[in-house]
This record gives sequence, C-alpha cells and structure tokens, in this order.
Amino acid sequence: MTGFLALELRRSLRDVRYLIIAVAMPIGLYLLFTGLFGAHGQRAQGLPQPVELMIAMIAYGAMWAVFSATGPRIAHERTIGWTRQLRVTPLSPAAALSGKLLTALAAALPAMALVALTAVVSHHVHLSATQWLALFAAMWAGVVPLALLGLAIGYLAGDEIAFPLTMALYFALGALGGLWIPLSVMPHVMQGLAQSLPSNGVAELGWRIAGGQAPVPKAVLVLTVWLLGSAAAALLAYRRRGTRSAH
Amino acid sequence: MYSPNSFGADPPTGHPRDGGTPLIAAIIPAVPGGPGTDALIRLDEVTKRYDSDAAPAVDGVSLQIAPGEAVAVMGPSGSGKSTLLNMIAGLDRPTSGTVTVAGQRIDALSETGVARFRRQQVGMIFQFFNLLDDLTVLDNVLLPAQLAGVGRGQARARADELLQVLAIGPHRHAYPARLSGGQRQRVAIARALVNRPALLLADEPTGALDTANGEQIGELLLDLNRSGQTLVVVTHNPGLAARYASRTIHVADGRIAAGAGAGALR
Repeated sequence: MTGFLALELRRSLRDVRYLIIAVAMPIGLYLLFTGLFGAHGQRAQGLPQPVELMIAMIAYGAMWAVFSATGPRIAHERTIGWTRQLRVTPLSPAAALSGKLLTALAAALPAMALVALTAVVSHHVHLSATQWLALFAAMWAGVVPLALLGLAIGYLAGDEIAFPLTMALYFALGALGGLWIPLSVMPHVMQGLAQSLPSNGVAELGWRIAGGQAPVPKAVLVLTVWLLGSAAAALLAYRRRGTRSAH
Repeated sequence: MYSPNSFGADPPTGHPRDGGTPLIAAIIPAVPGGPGTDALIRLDEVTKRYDSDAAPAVDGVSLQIAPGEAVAVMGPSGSGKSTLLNMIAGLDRPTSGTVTVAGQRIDALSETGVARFRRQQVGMIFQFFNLLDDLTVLDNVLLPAQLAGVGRGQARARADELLQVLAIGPHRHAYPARLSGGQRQRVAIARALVNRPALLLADEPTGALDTANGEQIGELLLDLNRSGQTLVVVTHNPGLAARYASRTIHVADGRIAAGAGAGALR
C-alpha cells in the first residue's frame, strides 16, 4: 500500500494539469483579486480581504487537486487498461480504491500550503499556529466529499468526457460556491444555493476558524450530506466497474 | 496426480529446462513440480454466472494444467475463455465449483488472500499492454515489485535483468508511447515476470500486433515456456495456438468443446 501511495502521489504531483490548475491558478487568482480589489479592505465575511481571499483560493486549489487525482485520471486509466492491470497486482481492490482517495487528499496539501505561503509572503497574512493548524485540518477534511465525487466520476465517465465534466464542475462549484465573489453580493436565491454546495462549506470552515469562531453547524451538515452522498456514489460506481472483469 | 494421459493425447512439451535460451532460463523461477507431480491448475465443475437469469459465462468446466505446460484456450468472442482465465488469476470467483492453483483453493480465499496469491503465483499480460504512459519502461516494470513490497535495489536488479533478456534494455528510460507494439508487449511481459510468478497468463497477447511482431512475441512466449514457465494463453489465433502451445482447449458457450487435452476434461 505504501508503494502504491508513493507511486500515485508522484504521478499526481508531476501532472501538468495539477500544477497549472491546482497550484498556479489559485495563486495567480489570489494575487489578481487582492490586486484588483485592494489588499486592505474588509469583505463580507468580516475578515481582512487578503485572509478571506486566501481561504477562498485554498478551497479552490484543494478542489482541483482532489479532482485531478481522481476523475480524469481514473477515467483515463480505465481506458488504457491500467485499472484492469492493477487488479492483477498484489494490491487488493479495497487498497487500490482507498489508495486513490488518500493520494487525492495528499495532493491537496501542497496546493493549499502554497496559496497560504503566497498570502503570508505577499500580504503578511498572520494567524496563530492553532488557527493555521485548525484551518488546514478542517478544510482538508472538508474536501473529502469532493475527492469521493471525483472517484465516482472516474469510474462512471468515459475518458473523453471525464476531464471537461470535472472542469465544468470545478468552475461551477467555485463560482456558485462564493469562492470568486462574496456571497453578500449574490442574489438571495444564489446565496441559498451557494450555502448548499461543498465548495462553500469548505471555505466557510476556513473563514470561521480564521475569524476565531467555531464552524457553523450548517456548513458541517452540508459537508456531511455531501460526504454520504459522494461516498455512496463512489462505491456504487466502483462496484459497477470493478466487480465484473472485462472479457 | 498428473500423468501424461490425464492431460490428453499430447503430453506437454517445453518441459522445464529442456529447452529455451540460457538467458531466458535464467529469469524463470524454479517450477513447483513437473510431469508426474500434482497439477499446477485444477478446475473442478466450475460455473460462473454474472446474472442469475442469463446463461452462465462458464458452465461446469473441469480441467487440469501441469507445471511447465503451455496451454492455449481458444473460442469465439463471449465463449467464456477470458472468464476462465480471470478465475485462474483470482480476478473472478466461480459461482460454483473449485479453482485450485499451486495447491491453494483460491475461490475460498479472502480478498487479502487472493492478493497474496497473485503476488506469489500470477503474472498476466493483455492485448493492449496496459502500460502507464507517464512512467518510463523501467518504472512500469518495477511497479508490481514495488506493490509487493520488494526492496528498490532488489526490484531494480530483477527489472534490469528482465529488460536485458527481453531485448528492451536500451529502451529502459523511454516512455511507452515511443515504443512499437511488440516492444510494448515485451515490457508488459517483463512486468508480468518481475515477481517471478509460477504462472504466466496471457489474454490475446498478439491481438494488437502486426504479423511480424506477433510472431516475435509468440517465439518469446515459447522460449519462456521451454525454460519452464507455465503458460496459459487465451487467443483467437489458431496459428499461435498450434505453434506455441503444447495443448489447445476449445471453449464454446462456456463449455469445453474439444481439445488435445480432452481426456482431462469432463
């Protein structure tokens, strides 16, 4: 299992799409947004703008990190026969599935950390050590439902559609979840929709922790519902593809 | 117990160490037995149903394969030959009947047990090579050893040895996309052999190759078998079966239809 995790992580971190979309893009957007909207203003979350944007972009980068290591990758591996080949290796199916999930989560950490580092270096964002720790732990746990959703896409979608589908989902969750623009400037209906999305849930955890508050039960509930739904979808998709050998 | 008659009219050829190039012989594991010893593979009244309403993919098949044999399984698409291969590899479980490989009832093993069985006993190659295109040839070959927990140095030495013997050593740092189909299948064979499996299973190994490359891979499989590697090949290609297998089993509608080993099949 350790060998599989090391291999998968190495492959994920070398993936050009991961480097561009999960790492470079959130950092670029962070620098762009803080430049455009000013680095000193207060925004709707009651946090300094650089902190609020940092958390939004941490969520944004983590989202693609877990998607890129699951959806398009697994769909491609199914097409080239690697998923089938993996079944012939000493790795059990359960280990292969959990390995994919753990790899996706591990790939999220560098993407999250580099946005935070950019915020600290460029705008001197300061949080206590406890806040940093809690923020990373909560947001990292918050992307688990998205990693599971990526697994479901990977086992259900074809190679040609998996990447555009995941990309569309990524942009939709980012835009509608309040990661690009604050919820307060959205129409009321859109605010309700945003608060039901996991992307907003992940960011909400971070915003609350950075603001010195406990996470709101609603965000935790939303993420729990997405976790259960995504886990069920991933398991069903995996069983549909995995239990019957191609012949 | 194995006896030549129990496997049909044609006794297995290519018995361990009676042929093959010395180089190839060096990469083959010690064969657990040989003619006169227990079967390496034994299927007893094996049936596999994917849907309770549909006809079984495999229907009451019994057969034995001795250590060191090269057996071809032939049949039309959907005849159940790949399902048969998958059950021998521990990838599918029979609905009824028993599958015994190297003395282990693999149909009764847990997932972990089957994974351990595959690590020790099975290497498998497929029609489309199934190589990871973002890893080099060497890294592709190393994968099963890494997944089995073999130390990097030991795995690397074994992979280098295989790549050299299979004549793809100069391409060890190339990516699969830069290789010909025949070279890619050689990489897949090296990957299948890296953990020294007792059994090499091949599902249409020449199906995606042109005639010349197909011949080369056939020769390579024959050489491996002559050096003692037990081989089960699923193929549509009667030429491959005739030239490179010591026994051919014909499968139709999930049943053994005929074959040189018909005596072993009930």
